[in-house]
Amino acid sequence: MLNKSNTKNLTAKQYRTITAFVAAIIGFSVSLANLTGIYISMLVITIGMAVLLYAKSRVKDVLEDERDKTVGGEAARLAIGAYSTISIVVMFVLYPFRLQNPFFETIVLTLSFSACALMGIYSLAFYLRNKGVKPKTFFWALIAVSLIVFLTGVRLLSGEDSWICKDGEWTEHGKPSSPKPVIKCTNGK
Amino acid sequence: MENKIKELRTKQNITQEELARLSKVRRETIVFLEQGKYNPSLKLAHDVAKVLKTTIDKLFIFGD
Repeated sequence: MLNKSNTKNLTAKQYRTITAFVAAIIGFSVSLANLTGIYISMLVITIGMAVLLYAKSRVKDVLEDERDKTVGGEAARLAIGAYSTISIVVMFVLYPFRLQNPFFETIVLTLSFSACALMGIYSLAFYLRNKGVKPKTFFWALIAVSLIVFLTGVRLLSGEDSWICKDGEWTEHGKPSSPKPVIKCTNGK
Repeated sequence: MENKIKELRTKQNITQEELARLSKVRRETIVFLEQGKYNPSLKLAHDVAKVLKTTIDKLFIFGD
Protein backbone atom coordinates (compact mmCIF):
# COMPACT_ATOMS: atom_id res chain seq x y z
CA MET A 1 0.00 0.00 0.00
CA LEU A 2 1.48 3.36 -0.99
CA ASN A 3 1.82 5.98 1.71
CA LYS A 4 3.95 9.08 2.06
CA SER A 5 6.53 7.41 4.29
CA ASN A 6 7.53 4.64 1.90
CA THR A 7 7.19 6.38 -1.49
CA LYS A 8 10.37 7.97 -2.79
CA ASN A 9 10.36 11.71 -3.38
CA LEU A 10 11.32 12.94 -6.84
CA THR A 11 13.79 15.66 -7.74
CA ALA A 12 12.91 18.39 -10.23
CA LYS A 13 15.18 16.73 -12.82
CA GLN A 14 13.41 13.39 -12.43
CA TYR A 15 10.04 15.11 -12.76
CA ARG A 16 11.14 16.85 -15.98
CA THR A 17 12.35 13.51 -17.36
CA ILE A 18 8.99 11.91 -16.56
CA THR A 19 7.19 14.89 -18.17
CA ALA A 20 9.22 14.54 -21.37
CA PHE A 21 8.58 10.79 -21.46
CA VAL A 22 4.83 11.19 -20.93
CA ALA A 23 4.67 13.97 -23.54
CA ALA A 24 6.40 11.70 -26.06
CA ILE A 25 3.93 8.87 -25.40
CA ILE A 26 0.97 11.23 -25.70
CA GLY A 27 2.37 12.71 -28.90
CA PHE A 28 2.90 9.23 -30.32
CA SER A 29 -0.63 8.07 -29.44
CA VAL A 30 -2.19 11.22 -30.93
CA SER A 31 -0.20 10.74 -34.14
CA LEU A 32 -1.62 7.22 -34.37
CA ALA A 33 -5.20 8.38 -33.70
CA ASN A 34 -6.19 7.70 -37.29
CA LEU A 35 -5.23 4.04 -36.88
CA THR A 36 -6.11 3.34 -33.25
CA GLY A 37 -9.09 5.65 -32.89
CA ILE A 38 -9.44 8.88 -30.99
CA TYR A 39 -10.72 7.28 -27.79
CA ILE A 40 -7.43 5.47 -27.20
CA SER A 41 -5.58 8.77 -27.59
CA MET A 42 -7.97 10.41 -25.13
CA LEU A 43 -7.41 7.55 -22.69
CA VAL A 44 -3.62 7.88 -23.04
CA ILE A 45 -3.87 11.66 -22.47
CA THR A 46 -6.01 11.16 -19.35
CA ILE A 47 -3.65 8.54 -17.91
CA GLY A 48 -0.64 10.70 -18.79
CA MET A 49 -2.12 13.69 -16.96
CA ALA A 50 -2.90 11.54 -13.92
CA VAL A 51 0.71 10.25 -13.91
CA LEU A 52 2.07 13.80 -14.13
CA LEU A 53 -0.20 15.05 -11.35
CA TYR A 54 0.94 12.21 -9.09
CA ALA A 55 4.61 12.74 -9.99
CA LYS A 56 4.28 16.46 -9.26
CA SER A 57 2.87 15.70 -5.82
CA ARG A 58 6.01 13.64 -5.07
CA VAL A 59 8.49 16.37 -6.03
CA LYS A 60 10.37 17.81 -3.06
CA ASP A 61 12.24 20.53 -5.01
CA VAL A 62 10.75 23.89 -5.95
CA LEU A 63 9.39 23.59 -9.48
CA GLU A 64 8.12 27.12 -9.95
CA ASP A 65 8.91 30.25 -7.97
CA GLU A 66 8.01 33.95 -8.13
CA ARG A 67 10.51 34.66 -10.90
CA ASP A 68 8.96 31.96 -13.11
CA LYS A 69 5.52 33.49 -12.53
CA THR A 70 6.73 37.04 -13.23
CA VAL A 71 8.65 36.10 -16.36
CA GLY A 72 5.86 33.72 -17.40
CA GLY A 73 3.29 36.51 -17.14
CA GLU A 74 5.39 38.84 -19.27
CA ALA A 75 6.04 36.08 -21.80
CA ALA A 76 2.31 35.27 -21.98
CA ARG A 77 1.47 38.89 -22.77
CA LEU A 78 4.14 39.02 -25.47
CA ALA A 79 2.93 35.70 -26.94
CA ILE A 80 -0.69 36.91 -27.09
CA GLY A 81 0.41 40.12 -28.80
CA ALA A 82 2.58 38.21 -31.27
CA TYR A 83 -0.18 35.69 -32.07
CA SER A 84 -2.71 38.48 -32.63
CA THR A 85 -0.32 40.42 -34.87
CA ILE A 86 0.58 37.36 -36.93
CA SER A 87 -3.13 36.51 -37.31
CA ILE A 88 -3.86 40.01 -38.65
CA VAL A 89 -0.93 39.88 -41.08
CA VAL A 90 -1.98 36.43 -42.37
CA MET A 91 -5.57 37.68 -42.69
CA PHE A 92 -4.49 40.63 -44.84
CA VAL A 93 -2.34 38.37 -47.00
CA LEU A 94 -4.77 35.45 -47.53
CA TYR A 95 -8.24 37.01 -47.40
CA PRO A 96 -8.00 38.88 -50.74
CA PHE A 97 -7.25 35.52 -52.42
CA ARG A 98 -10.08 33.56 -50.78
CA LEU A 99 -11.93 33.13 -54.08
CA GLN A 100 -8.90 31.39 -55.55
CA ASN A 101 -8.70 28.94 -52.68
CA PRO A 102 -11.62 28.56 -50.22
CA PHE A 103 -9.22 27.05 -47.68
CA PHE A 104 -7.69 30.52 -47.25
CA GLU A 105 -10.94 31.82 -45.80
CA THR A 106 -11.04 28.92 -43.34
CA ILE A 107 -7.50 29.69 -42.19
CA VAL A 108 -8.25 33.40 -41.81
CA LEU A 109 -11.47 32.85 -39.87
CA THR A 110 -9.85 30.26 -37.60
CA LEU A 111 -6.89 32.51 -36.82
CA SER A 112 -8.95 35.65 -36.23
CA PHE A 113 -11.57 33.97 -34.04
CA SER A 114 -8.90 32.12 -32.06
CA ALA A 115 -6.98 35.39 -31.52
CA CYS A 116 -10.19 37.06 -30.27
CA ALA A 117 -10.91 34.08 -28.01
CA LEU A 118 -7.36 34.17 -26.64
CA MET A 119 -7.57 37.87 -25.81
CA GLY A 120 -11.00 37.37 -24.27
CA ILE A 121 -9.77 34.54 -22.06
CA TYR A 122 -6.70 36.57 -21.07
CA SER A 123 -8.90 39.55 -20.12
CA LEU A 124 -11.18 37.28 -18.08
CA ALA A 125 -8.21 35.63 -16.33
CA PHE A 126 -6.67 39.06 -15.57
CA TYR A 127 -9.99 40.31 -14.15
CA LEU A 128 -10.45 37.22 -11.98
CA ARG A 129 -6.85 37.30 -10.68
CA ASN A 130 -7.25 40.99 -9.92
CA LYS A 131 -10.32 40.12 -7.87
CA GLY A 132 -8.27 37.58 -5.94
CA VAL A 133 -9.58 34.38 -7.53
CA LYS A 134 -6.95 31.71 -7.01
CA PRO A 135 -5.36 29.99 -10.02
CA LYS A 136 -6.59 26.59 -8.74
CA THR A 137 -10.20 27.83 -8.81
CA PHE A 138 -9.69 29.04 -12.37
CA PHE A 139 -8.14 25.67 -13.26
CA TRP A 140 -11.10 23.67 -11.87
CA ALA A 141 -13.59 26.02 -13.60
CA LEU A 142 -11.71 25.41 -16.86
CA ILE A 143 -11.91 21.64 -16.32
CA ALA A 144 -15.65 21.92 -15.67
CA VAL A 145 -16.25 24.07 -18.79
CA SER A 146 -14.12 21.72 -20.93
CA LEU A 147 -16.09 18.73 -19.67
CA ILE A 148 -19.41 20.43 -20.45
CA VAL A 149 -18.24 21.42 -23.94
CA PHE A 150 -16.91 17.90 -24.55
CA LEU A 151 -20.07 16.13 -23.37
CA THR A 152 -22.29 18.55 -25.27
CA GLY A 153 -20.23 18.04 -28.42
CA VAL A 154 -20.31 14.27 -28.11
CA ARG A 155 -24.05 14.34 -27.49
CA LEU A 156 -24.80 16.63 -30.41
CA LEU A 157 -22.35 15.16 -32.92
CA SER A 158 -22.46 11.47 -32.06
CA GLY A 159 -25.54 10.92 -34.16
CA GLU A 160 -27.32 9.41 -31.19
CA ASP A 161 -30.76 10.58 -32.26
CA SER A 162 -30.42 10.85 -36.00
CA TRP A 163 -31.10 9.18 -39.31
CA ILE A 164 -28.73 6.42 -40.41
CA CYS A 165 -28.39 4.96 -43.89
CA LYS A 166 -28.93 1.20 -43.80
CA ASP A 167 -29.40 -1.06 -46.82
CA GLY A 168 -30.26 1.89 -49.01
CA GLU A 169 -32.99 3.18 -46.67
CA TRP A 170 -32.94 5.98 -44.11
CA THR A 171 -33.81 4.45 -40.72
CA GLU A 172 -34.34 6.15 -37.40
CA HIS A 173 -31.67 5.82 -34.72
CA GLY A 174 -33.34 6.85 -31.47
CA LYS A 175 -35.79 9.72 -31.93
CA PRO A 176 -34.35 12.16 -34.46
CA SER A 177 -35.64 15.71 -34.18
CA SER A 178 -34.92 16.51 -37.83
CA PRO A 179 -37.05 15.20 -40.73
CA LYS A 180 -35.86 12.33 -42.91
CA PRO A 181 -33.01 13.49 -45.19
CA VAL A 182 -34.00 14.21 -48.77
CA ILE A 183 -30.63 13.20 -50.23
CA LYS A 184 -30.34 9.65 -51.56
CA CYS A 185 -29.18 7.02 -49.08
CA THR A 186 -26.31 5.11 -50.63
CA ASN A 187 -25.64 2.13 -48.33
CA GLY A 188 -24.25 4.19 -45.51
CA LYS A 189 -21.45 5.83 -47.60
CA MET B 1 19.69 46.55 -8.32
CA GLU B 2 23.04 45.64 -6.83
CA ASN B 3 23.28 43.41 -3.81
CA LYS B 4 25.69 41.60 -1.54
CA ILE B 5 24.07 38.18 -1.75
CA LYS B 6 27.07 36.41 -3.28
CA GLU B 7 29.48 38.10 -0.89
CA LEU B 8 27.54 37.10 2.23
CA ARG B 9 26.72 33.64 0.89
CA THR B 10 30.35 32.74 0.21
CA LYS B 11 31.44 34.19 3.57
CA GLN B 12 29.02 31.81 5.31
CA ASN B 13 29.99 28.85 3.06
CA ILE B 14 26.50 28.42 1.70
CA THR B 15 26.05 27.09 -1.82
CA GLN B 16 23.54 28.58 -4.26
CA GLU B 17 21.61 25.31 -4.09
CA GLU B 18 21.35 25.52 -0.32
CA LEU B 19 20.40 29.20 -0.31
CA ALA B 20 17.70 28.43 -2.90
CA ARG B 21 16.37 25.55 -0.81
CA LEU B 22 16.26 27.62 2.37
CA SER B 23 14.63 30.55 0.56
CA LYS B 24 12.14 28.21 -1.18
CA VAL B 25 13.08 29.25 -4.71
CA ARG B 26 14.92 27.61 -7.60
CA ARG B 27 18.70 27.82 -7.86
CA GLU B 28 18.35 29.75 -11.13
CA THR B 29 16.54 32.52 -9.25
CA ILE B 30 19.48 32.85 -6.82
CA VAL B 31 21.81 33.06 -9.83
CA PHE B 32 19.72 35.86 -11.35
CA LEU B 33 19.54 37.66 -8.00
CA GLU B 34 23.31 37.57 -7.53
CA GLN B 35 23.85 38.90 -11.03
CA GLY B 36 21.41 41.74 -10.36
CA LYS B 37 19.21 40.59 -13.25
CA TYR B 38 16.12 40.07 -11.12
CA ASN B 39 14.49 42.32 -8.50
CA PRO B 40 12.95 40.12 -5.83
CA SER B 41 9.61 40.65 -4.15
CA LEU B 42 9.63 41.99 -0.60
CA LYS B 43 8.93 38.50 0.75
CA LEU B 44 11.79 36.90 -1.16
CA ALA B 45 14.18 39.71 -0.20
CA HIS B 46 13.19 39.18 3.44
CA ASP B 47 13.61 35.38 3.19
CA VAL B 48 17.07 35.67 1.60
CA ALA B 49 18.15 38.28 4.15
CA LYS B 50 16.93 36.04 6.97
CA VAL B 51 18.92 33.04 5.67
CA LEU B 52 22.05 35.20 5.34
CA LYS B 53 21.47 36.58 8.84
CA THR B 54 21.23 40.18 7.76
CA THR B 55 18.62 42.82 6.88
CA ILE B 56 17.17 43.87 3.55
CA ASP B 57 18.73 47.34 3.57
CA LYS B 58 22.17 45.87 4.28
CA LEU B 59 21.76 43.17 1.64
CA PHE B 60 20.46 45.30 -1.25
CA ILE B 61 22.02 48.53 -2.50
CA PHE B 62 19.31 50.96 -3.45
CA GLY B 63 20.42 53.61 -5.93
CA ASP B 64 19.29 57.23 -5.46
